[in-house]
Amino acid sequence: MRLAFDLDGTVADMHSALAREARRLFPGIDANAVPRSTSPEGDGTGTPGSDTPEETRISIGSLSSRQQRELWDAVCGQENWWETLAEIEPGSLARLYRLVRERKWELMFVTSRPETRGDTAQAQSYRWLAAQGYETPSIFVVHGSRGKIAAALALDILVDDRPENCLDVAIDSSARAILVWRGDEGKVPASARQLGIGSVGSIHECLDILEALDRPDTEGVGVIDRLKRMLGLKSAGGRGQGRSAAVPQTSAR
Amino acid sequence: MMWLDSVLFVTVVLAIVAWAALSAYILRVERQREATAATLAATLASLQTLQAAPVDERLAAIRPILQACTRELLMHAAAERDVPDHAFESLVLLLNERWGIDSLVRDAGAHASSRDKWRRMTALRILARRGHAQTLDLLARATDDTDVDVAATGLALLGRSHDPMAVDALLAALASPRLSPSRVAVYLDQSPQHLGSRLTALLGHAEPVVRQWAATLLARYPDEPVEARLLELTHDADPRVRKAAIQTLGRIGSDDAGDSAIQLLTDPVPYVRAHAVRALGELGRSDQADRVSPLLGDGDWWVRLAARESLEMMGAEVWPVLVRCLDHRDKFVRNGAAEVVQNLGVLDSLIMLEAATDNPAGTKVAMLRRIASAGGVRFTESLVERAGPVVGPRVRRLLDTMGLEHVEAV
Repeated sequence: MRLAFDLDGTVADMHSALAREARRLFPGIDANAVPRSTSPEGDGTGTPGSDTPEETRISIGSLSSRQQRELWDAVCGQENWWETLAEIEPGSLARLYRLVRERKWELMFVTSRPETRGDTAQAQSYRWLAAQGYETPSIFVVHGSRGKIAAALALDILVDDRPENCLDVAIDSSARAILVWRGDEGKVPASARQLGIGSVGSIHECLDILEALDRPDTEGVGVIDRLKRMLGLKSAGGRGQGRSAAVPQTSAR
Repeated sequence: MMWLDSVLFVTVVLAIVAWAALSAYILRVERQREATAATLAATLASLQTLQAAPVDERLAAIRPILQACTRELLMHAAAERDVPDHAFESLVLLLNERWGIDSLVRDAGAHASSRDKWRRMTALRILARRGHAQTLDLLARATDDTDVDVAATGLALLGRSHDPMAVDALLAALASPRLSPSRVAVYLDQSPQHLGSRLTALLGHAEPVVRQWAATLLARYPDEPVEARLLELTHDADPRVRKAAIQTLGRIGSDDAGDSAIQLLTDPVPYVRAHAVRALGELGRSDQADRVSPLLGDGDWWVRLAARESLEMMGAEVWPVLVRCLDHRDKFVRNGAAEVVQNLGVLDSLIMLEAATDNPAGTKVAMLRRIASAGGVRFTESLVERAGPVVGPRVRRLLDTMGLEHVEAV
């Protein structure tokens, strides 16, 4: 099984660290206005090094584009900032590493982290993951559609906290996306399910599913079908219509 | 000028007389009609009360009521389809008693005038219902008649028959150049008999029209082992046969049927392509949505419509294929895909997920706008409300960005 995990918002708590910076820069700012993860297309949120025009990204959070840019400028000016993040669910990466070794999964961490002062985002991420118990991670720092990345890497499953990335995976690849949705909004997982995207409330829940998925198949059902079943997704459609009277009243056509 | 006055006077008098005569005639006809209706109502009411009584008692009851009625009136009453069986039996016995059943057989055999034609069709209905021994011969003769009404009556009565020979007559009529095959097929389709094996035998008929209708009608018999034969017919030289075969395979076929439908997606005849594409939808082959979607831009409007219907039949699972089509170079494909996404009811979900994303890309919002513009969607406030307190305001802002009209929740 070939898997990819997103980092920020999925396993790494970028939001808390970013919120701290935001409160320092803009006292009284609502923490919910701070992005939970980095955008795969580089910056939309004002991260440095972006060549995406600002107007092509729609700001629907309550932090203005200018504020977001200032925030990211401050973050990227700090040395090895990515190593200061906490793990969202302590112990989840160590468990993931154990499973990867036991089950012989191929796993890659995919991230759109912008560069900060100090080492490369990839090197910082490597050290950070190792410190959390994932000893020898493969990390791919890449911008662009997660769907195209999933197709290029021939992934089976991509785990991500951004619904938009999960949509990209569904559109551009044959991989299955699992959305990690920690919000209490009941409608978002339901919408994801309607679009064939599985939704879990935590990494531990996701790992439970992946673990069960990797058990030997006793029913002759494929991995993707079992995954769809475990995530409560509809199986492939059967006959669309009931059988009706055969003969139209007119015309041979 | 005296003569002119006289002429005018005579003309006026004649006009008055003509008007009076016509009025009297109309009144008389109306009165007769009312009397006839009253007689029939009284007869049926009397028979209703005596439905459990012996036949002799029923006949004794209606004889005085129908004493003065004509043969046509009695035939008319007996030929009504909604007359209950016990009443029908009594009326036919009375007919037989007064004019003999042979008179009906004579009427049913041929006609010369329009009045005879009515008698013939009515007699055929009565004899068919009664199960008279000569019924099938008379009906077969009727289907051969040059008069279309008589032929249609014959076909309809054969179609209702439980006699296997009636099916023989209908199947023979299918190949008749004088009769509309689709009309004959309608009666075969309505037959109370199981025609599976009979129709299967016709799949190799020399006449394409017979093969076509046999293949079409077999859709009623999903348990009939005909898939292999129908798969062969998808290569038939006649496009009507190919169309019928794939249409039926769409309803009763398996995965092999899907493979044949895929081959027919490039058939040179538009209506064959249309039925092939619809068959894939009916077979639930969402894995073939990528092959169906290009037909959203087919040169023939019917194929384009069938492609939309087929993709809708496949269900919400095909939405990624449709979203990919939104950037297609053909505007029919783009618009058709947007319309299907809307009809699948997944636009709400796409909006919800984009809104739940921090700062969604402008390209995604443009994509949603393209889908929405295909149908002039109006969103109710319920979409915002259902999204909850955090995502709800984001949904509203996204909808505003897309320029969609808001309406109050119903």
